[in-house]
Amino acid sequence: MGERQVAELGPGTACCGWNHCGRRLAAGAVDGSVSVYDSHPSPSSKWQVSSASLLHLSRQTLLSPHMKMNAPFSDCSFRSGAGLANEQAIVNVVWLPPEYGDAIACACADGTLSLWEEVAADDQLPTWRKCKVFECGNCHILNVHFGLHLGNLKMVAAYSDGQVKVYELSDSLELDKWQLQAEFQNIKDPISRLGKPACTSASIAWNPRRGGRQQASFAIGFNSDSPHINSCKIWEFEDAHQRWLPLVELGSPEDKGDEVCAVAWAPNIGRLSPQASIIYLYAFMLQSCCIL
Amino acid sequence: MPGMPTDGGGAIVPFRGEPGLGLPPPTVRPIHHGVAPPMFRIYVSWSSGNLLQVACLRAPNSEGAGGAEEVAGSVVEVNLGGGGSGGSESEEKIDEAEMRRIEYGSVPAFALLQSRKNALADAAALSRASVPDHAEWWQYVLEYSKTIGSLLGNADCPAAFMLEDPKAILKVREKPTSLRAAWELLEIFYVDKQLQGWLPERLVDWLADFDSLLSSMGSTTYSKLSNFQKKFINLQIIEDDPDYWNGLSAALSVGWLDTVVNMLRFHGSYQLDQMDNRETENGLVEAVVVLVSTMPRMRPNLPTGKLGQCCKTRPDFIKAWEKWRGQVTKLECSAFWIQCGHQKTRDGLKNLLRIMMGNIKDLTAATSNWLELFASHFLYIKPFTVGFEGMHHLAQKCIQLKPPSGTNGLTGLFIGVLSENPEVVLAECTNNFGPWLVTHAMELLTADNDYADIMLHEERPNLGGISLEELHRLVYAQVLCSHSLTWQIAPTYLSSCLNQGLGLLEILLLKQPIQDNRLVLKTLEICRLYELDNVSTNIMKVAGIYHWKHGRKGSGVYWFQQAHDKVHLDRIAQLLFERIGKSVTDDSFKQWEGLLELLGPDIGSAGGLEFLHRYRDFKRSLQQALDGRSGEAARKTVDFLMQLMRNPSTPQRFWLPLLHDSVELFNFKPNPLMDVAETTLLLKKLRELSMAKLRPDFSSNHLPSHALSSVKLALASNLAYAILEDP
Repeated sequence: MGERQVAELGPGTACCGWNHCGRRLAAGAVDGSVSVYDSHPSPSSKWQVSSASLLHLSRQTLLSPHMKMNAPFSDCSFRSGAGLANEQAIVNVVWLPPEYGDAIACACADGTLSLWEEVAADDQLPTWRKCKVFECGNCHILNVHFGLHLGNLKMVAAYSDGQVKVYELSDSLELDKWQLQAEFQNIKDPISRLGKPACTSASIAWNPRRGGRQQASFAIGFNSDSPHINSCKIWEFEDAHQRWLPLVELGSPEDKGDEVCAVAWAPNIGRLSPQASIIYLYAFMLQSCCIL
Repeated sequence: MPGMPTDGGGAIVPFRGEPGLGLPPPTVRPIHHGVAPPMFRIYVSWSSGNLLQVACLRAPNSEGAGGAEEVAGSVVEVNLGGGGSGGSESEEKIDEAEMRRIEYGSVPAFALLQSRKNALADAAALSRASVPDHAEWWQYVLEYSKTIGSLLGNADCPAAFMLEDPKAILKVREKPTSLRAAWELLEIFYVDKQLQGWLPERLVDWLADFDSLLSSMGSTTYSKLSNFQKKFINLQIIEDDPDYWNGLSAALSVGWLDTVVNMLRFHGSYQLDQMDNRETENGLVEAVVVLVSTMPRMRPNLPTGKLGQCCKTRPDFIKAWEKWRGQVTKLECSAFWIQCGHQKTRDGLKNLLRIMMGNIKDLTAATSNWLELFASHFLYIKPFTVGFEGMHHLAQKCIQLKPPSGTNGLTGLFIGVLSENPEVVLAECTNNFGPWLVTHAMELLTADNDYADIMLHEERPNLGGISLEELHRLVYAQVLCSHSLTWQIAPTYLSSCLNQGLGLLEILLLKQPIQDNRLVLKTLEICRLYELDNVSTNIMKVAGIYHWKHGRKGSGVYWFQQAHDKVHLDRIAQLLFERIGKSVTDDSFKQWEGLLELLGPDIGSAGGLEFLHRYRDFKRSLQQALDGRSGEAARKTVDFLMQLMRNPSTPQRFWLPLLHDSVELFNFKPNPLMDVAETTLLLKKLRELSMAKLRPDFSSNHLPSHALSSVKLALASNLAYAILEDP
């Protein structure tokens, strides 16, 4: 059974994320830098210092000797965060869907979120460019996730006060123009609305099903001091009322309110069978595992 | 409390399957990531096929004992599949390149068989009364089996250009693989109905080809002979060596007649200097040689070099068999044995005769394992054994007489086949020969076996509604997807899976990287083959944005056009329009001209591109007019200018640049190019522009400050000339 180390991550790495095809890995570090590791060796993957980006560090390719036959992971680094002066640790790195190019979103410890994309001018090496910074005053952006609906890119952002915001990209070529589409708390029943819960992390997963007619939906769960906010819920966009509604709340009575550490959709591969409409969702909670 | 981490394992998420429920324990796979604890975060992501990527991160602030040399994080790729190579014994694992050759080679045969199966099913559906022609189908499967078999190597052909050693006992041949052995075994039992009557002899041949693979069960005839071969060169008196006689009896017991005859001819009595003294002994050896060479064999033909009398029908065989046994008995009772001075020769030859007479005790002693004993039964005791039941019974008896000392995938498969248990056959194939064999051998199992057919095609709720056949095909396809050199052939297998294949195929295609153009073309070709238009559109869009963002604007537009992506193309047209509006210099003209050409006249609902096309024509014509100074070209340019100025879709901010570009035309000598009406129209536009200048939303052009006055002056002089010229 094969097992090989494909890359060694640099010191201070705090989070990472793969792109849609699993050939690129972005790793965020406590010093606010992000390294992008690439499994395709090509002239374009030899990263160089560029003046366009904030900072590029050259990092040697780290490989164990037995892997040299395989594609080495080369890498590039740049610094994220609100600015160079304010070097904030990166807490989450998420790739955008490939329909919007090679782009990542970095959530920083100071609560800001920045979007970066890889661009290149004619015959020049690609560089990473900051497209947009989301700031939110007192609260923090904990996590984001991107989804496609009817050809539009949507972003769900989870905030430290338990708020969920859905943004929509208004320009298909540029990542700098976003419209706030909805804002709500991750609670099913408005009566249970609380004052200000304190959330430390959030997990979001867009329903990956493709196809035009499918309603947009995503699952979200929090890690906070409020059980109502914590429990994982699936939100669906209802066209008739043009708003997001909680479709279902996950969790059995015994584990209700447990902190949610991660959620993920299982790939829905059955196309022709009647089971194709069944939702498979994995929500891993701190104390129990729930598979639907 | 449910889910509390257990003391021993330290698992965060415990496995819910209780031991009492009969569920198998979860498979735990340790991963060697090289990151020292404490672990901070672990990220997991499925890559293609069976590949799982795991990133392990160490707490960024932890002060480890190792200091700076500690690994902060590590990404490990884990292949969860068993891999494609077959072969139960590690020493004969087929190397990766060879396995890929087999994998690629088997695709056309598999695809052809599937298309024939579909064609037959369609024909049966059309004429509901008639059932699919079984005879025909069986022929197709046989053809398929032969094609695949030939990929696995040819056991009969000698290794190329090997000089025949006169002292060789065993012929040097291509090393057989257990993959081929398993395939042939399944073909013999399940497919080749033509040769069913000669099944025992086919099994004897099979054992002759693959006896060397059974070494994991202990010694074999092959190993005995090859050991003796090594010793043989140094032997002075060969017939004194007990291994000589052991080898002879072993070879005879499994029917390797040519080997036996060959070995007997090495007997000392054949040497010229000993002929006279050992005449009787030599006569006896030669008599045995003749008997061995003329042994009746019930088979359709004998390959060249093989010995024995070939009897095609049962009556012929019985006649020859009786006669031959009579001769053997006669030789055994001969008086010449008393005159044979060499004790070992006498005993050895008599032992050979007893084997030929079918003496069970001697056969048991001569053979090395139960499978050899089983084959010797067909040769010397029960040449007419037919039917699975009889064979299975015989196999059980042989196993009792010679209990197996080790396990071997082939013998397990053999017993599974004989016990008429397709589940066991499938399980043995899965465990020992890998997913390639299972996927391809299922066609053999179902060729003429209704039970296996139902078993493999029944939809099982415990497998998520798919059949066993589909499950095994999916497993194999995942193995293919796990390697960058084999993923291209996975679609053939995925498309044959009705329930989940197409969904997996879509995921596979969508996950292909789009950086390499050749790879994109390959992926799109696969999409076209399987009519996955949605997927190909998506891939083209992704390729389009990738090239657009990476400075290859032309490629980007090309892919957006291929995808009929109106949203992006409109947006690009708008971008172009805005950019040109900002600066209309000759340098930028060249830059966007190509893009404009690519975008075509239909893009841009706002009429922006239509304007840009006219503008391009004007600029080209103007260039020609100024270069050539010909009146005709200048007149044509003025026509373009007038069209542009009259057209309401021409944005106002372009008016002044257009007029400024044309100043030289207005001063064209000797005759003015524009008549009074045309000049008046342009002056009117100029006035409109002056009014607009006062509005706050007016966008200023990057033109010299005297632009307006120079245009005004030129137009005025042109008007003057035009009035003079006016008849």
